Amino acid sequence: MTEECDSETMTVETVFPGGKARNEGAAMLSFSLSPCFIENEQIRFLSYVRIFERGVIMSVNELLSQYGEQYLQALLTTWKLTALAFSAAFVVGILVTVMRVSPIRPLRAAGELYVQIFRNIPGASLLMFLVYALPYLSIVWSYFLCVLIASFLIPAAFCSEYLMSGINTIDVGQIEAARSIGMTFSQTIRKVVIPQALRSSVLPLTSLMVATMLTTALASQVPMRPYDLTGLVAHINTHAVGGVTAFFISAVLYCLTAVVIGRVGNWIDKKVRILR
Amino acid sequence: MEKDQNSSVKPVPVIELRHVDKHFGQLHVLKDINLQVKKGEVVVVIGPSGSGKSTLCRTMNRLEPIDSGEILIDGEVIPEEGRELARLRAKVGMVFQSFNLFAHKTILDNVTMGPVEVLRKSKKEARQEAMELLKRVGVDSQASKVPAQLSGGQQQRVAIARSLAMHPKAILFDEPTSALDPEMIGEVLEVMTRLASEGMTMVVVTHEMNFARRVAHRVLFMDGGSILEENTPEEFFTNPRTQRARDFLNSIQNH
Repeated sequence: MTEECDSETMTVETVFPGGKARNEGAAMLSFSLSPCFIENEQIRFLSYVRIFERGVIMSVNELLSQYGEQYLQALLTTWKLTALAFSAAFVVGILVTVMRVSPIRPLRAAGELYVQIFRNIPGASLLMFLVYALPYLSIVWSYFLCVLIASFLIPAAFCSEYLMSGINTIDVGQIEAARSIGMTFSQTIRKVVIPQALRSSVLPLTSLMVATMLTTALASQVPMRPYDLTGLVAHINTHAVGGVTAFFISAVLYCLTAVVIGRVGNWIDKKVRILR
Repeated sequence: MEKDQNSSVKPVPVIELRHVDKHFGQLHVLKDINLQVKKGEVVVVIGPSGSGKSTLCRTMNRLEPIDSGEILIDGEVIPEEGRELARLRAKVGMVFQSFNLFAHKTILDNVTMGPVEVLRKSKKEARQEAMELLKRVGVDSQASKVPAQLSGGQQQRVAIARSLAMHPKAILFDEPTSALDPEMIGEVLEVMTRLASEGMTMVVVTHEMNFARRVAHRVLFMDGGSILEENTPEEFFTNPRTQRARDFLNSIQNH
């Protein structure tokens, strides 16, 4: 591993056995391990104190006029990650759920195993594994893909849990009725079980989408370009004195997005809720 | 499994049980049940609760697995699992005590689900037929509602229409009126009586003794997992052969 350290950013080139290499800008994860980073942090902290004293920290207006376009791009990146990750989590969650209710024992076991593994892994660990461990197996994915995968594998496990609790609300009698008119297992699952499970888990799935959005902030832990909302804050604070204001703008954008997701979720829930 | 013995000499029974045994853990719920239901026959099963009559009804289309013995539909042995089981099940309709309509589907879609998914009929054809069936059971005006918006009696009539849509060889009724308010029992029994008079093969588990008397061709009295008495309704209700049946009839007449 060779490191090059300048005053502001650090370029890390990591060569893994197998000849694959990562060389994409600043790898922030490795910052925490390097003495040069700690030194930087101390200097930065001292300079904050000086700036606060003089009252020159950037206002919201200043930040937006200078970084407005980048905030917009970061918002779009967060949206893109959220939409892709949630869609993937949704599809994988349904598949895992079908496995967990299938009559085939190994499939059921595999479904349970998936949930047990991914419900219990911190997102950051998973991302670190994808970014820094997989290259040892000669698998090098782009940072974007790594972030995307880390932020759907875990929500997929939760998605399956929500769907399972949705399935538990379905009266066994309805499944018997479906079987008694000659429907096969897969027809019963597709036409009776999953549609009802989905309808009764709209609200938890809405929360899951918000949680997925927050999970995509993992992107700030790797040098992914373009930045997501959290990554941009880190970027701004290494180049200018955004301070807490830079976080504040990102937080507002996260909140607004969450409010929109929540509203849409409520609307869908009202439309598809099953009368009982 | 050819059914070429289907000649005029000896018609194949629609449903046949041969030496069927079943346990729920220690409890022996069905003891060596042998039974044939002929085409067009209405068999009413009565007996005290816990006698195994509901279980008997549910084993006939394999909703309950059995420990030993054979169940034949139309001369074909029902297998334990798989597509073949689904195919044979489609031949026998089932009406449940708690209606069990698909809660997320409209009344019309409840009836078309089987024909579209299982019989592979076109949506249009299935809808047309479903509307006729709903008219037959008197709930066609509710076609676009969902089950929770209907009364119990209406829901049960929809459930009957859902069975009929599959053109079954027989329909099993598992206490179809037990979950209904008293004023709704009549409308369901009326539909069932009409079905019987049209020649539908029916196995009915019920506590409605008047219905059994009027409609049944044969009454089975069950207790303790066995069929204790098999009789014509007239004979059974006026002159039951077994003491247990006499006790049972006395106990329900006292109310």
